[in-house]
Amino acid sequence: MSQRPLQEPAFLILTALAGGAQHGYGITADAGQISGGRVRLRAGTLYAALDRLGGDGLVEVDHEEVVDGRLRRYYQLTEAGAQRLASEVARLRANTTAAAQRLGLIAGTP
Amino acid sequence: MSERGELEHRYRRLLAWYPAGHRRDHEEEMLGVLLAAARGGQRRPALADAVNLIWGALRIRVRTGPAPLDPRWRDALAVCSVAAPLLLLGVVTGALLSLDAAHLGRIVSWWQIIPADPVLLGPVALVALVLLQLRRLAALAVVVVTVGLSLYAVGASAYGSAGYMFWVVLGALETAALVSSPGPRRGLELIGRRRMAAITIAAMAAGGLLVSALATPAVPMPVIRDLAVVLGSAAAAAVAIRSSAVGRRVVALLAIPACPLIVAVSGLTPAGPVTTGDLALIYLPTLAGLSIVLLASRRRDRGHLGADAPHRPDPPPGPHSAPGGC
Repeated sequence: MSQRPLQEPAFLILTALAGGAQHGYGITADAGQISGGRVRLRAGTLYAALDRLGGDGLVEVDHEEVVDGRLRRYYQLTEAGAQRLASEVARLRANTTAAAQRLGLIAGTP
Repeated sequence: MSERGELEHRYRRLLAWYPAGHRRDHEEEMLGVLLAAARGGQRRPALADAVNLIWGALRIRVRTGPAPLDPRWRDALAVCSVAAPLLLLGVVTGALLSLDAAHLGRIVSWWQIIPADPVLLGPVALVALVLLQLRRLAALAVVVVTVGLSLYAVGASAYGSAGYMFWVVLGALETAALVSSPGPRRGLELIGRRRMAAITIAAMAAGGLLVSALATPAVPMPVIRDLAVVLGSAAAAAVAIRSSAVGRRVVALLAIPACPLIVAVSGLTPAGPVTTGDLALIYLPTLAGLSIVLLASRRRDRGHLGADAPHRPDPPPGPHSAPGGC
């Protein structure tokens, strides 16, 4: 069965976690960097996406720590999450390659 | 209150939109993220953040569905799944007896009436399906009959009639009872054979015998009849399962369809064309009763996230999440 494309917040979260476990604020900051400042993940969007990704078994809690009396929970990619991200990358790459070829953006193509 | 404290307080109020289980697992963590992203001196959440939090809460609520029912309400609904069809049977019996007594001067039998008015077979069939514990078939039958009745009531401009409202609400109650409870099997187990007989007799007796004593020209006989059946059965149920937590809930549930009838009997709705005020009088108490029961039947707390994850012991101070419950 073909998978539905990942929505951008989910894609950015998985990409952020592909570099290692991160806490909530770290994910939002990283997602901003990954998107070149184009996307700002707000808390409501972040935790709705984490809720879904956790429910689908794509991310999990790595560990928790308390900093300045405030809880920080670190999330990490599961194996299924890494596979899902890899298949999404392949899908996007195939699409962008096809689009670039038609636009003549890749050398040696018409 | 300091700026930080005030901002935190306001964020907590927004986080109250989230389901209790999600709050328990993530509130402190989300507060940490929100406060870390706040500007220096900020006292109020930005409008975009507030909207985003509420939207996120609604998405999670939609995804996780309604809170599970309290087991006492599930049992009460199971009892109602059996009791509501009996009410219908009582109402129909009352209708037969009162019609016959009023118009024919004699009481005729079921088998004489049904060929002339096959719609009366509905309650009989429903009771049979419920007693045979054919839950899905019974639920399908009730939905079809209730939707059909609603469409008919709207088409005939009878939606302002307390009698129709009673039938429709009773049908909705039976549908909810069949769908969201363990069903007639559990209901019959809770009621027991003797109590079952008591409720049946009460429903039919109330339907049949109290009509002539209560009916007056000012109050239509069918309304009295239906109300008598409902109140008689609710009283029988209360006596049968007296003082138990489930019994009280059964009575509360059965009282909902009675609301429009009580309003009608009280004489608040005048005869003649139905006005908006009449509709409000008939429908609002019913909706209020339904809302109260719905609110009361939800568990105060639930762990919807990580519910299927391995259980971990209670956490040290601070929130806690089961693995994968993010």
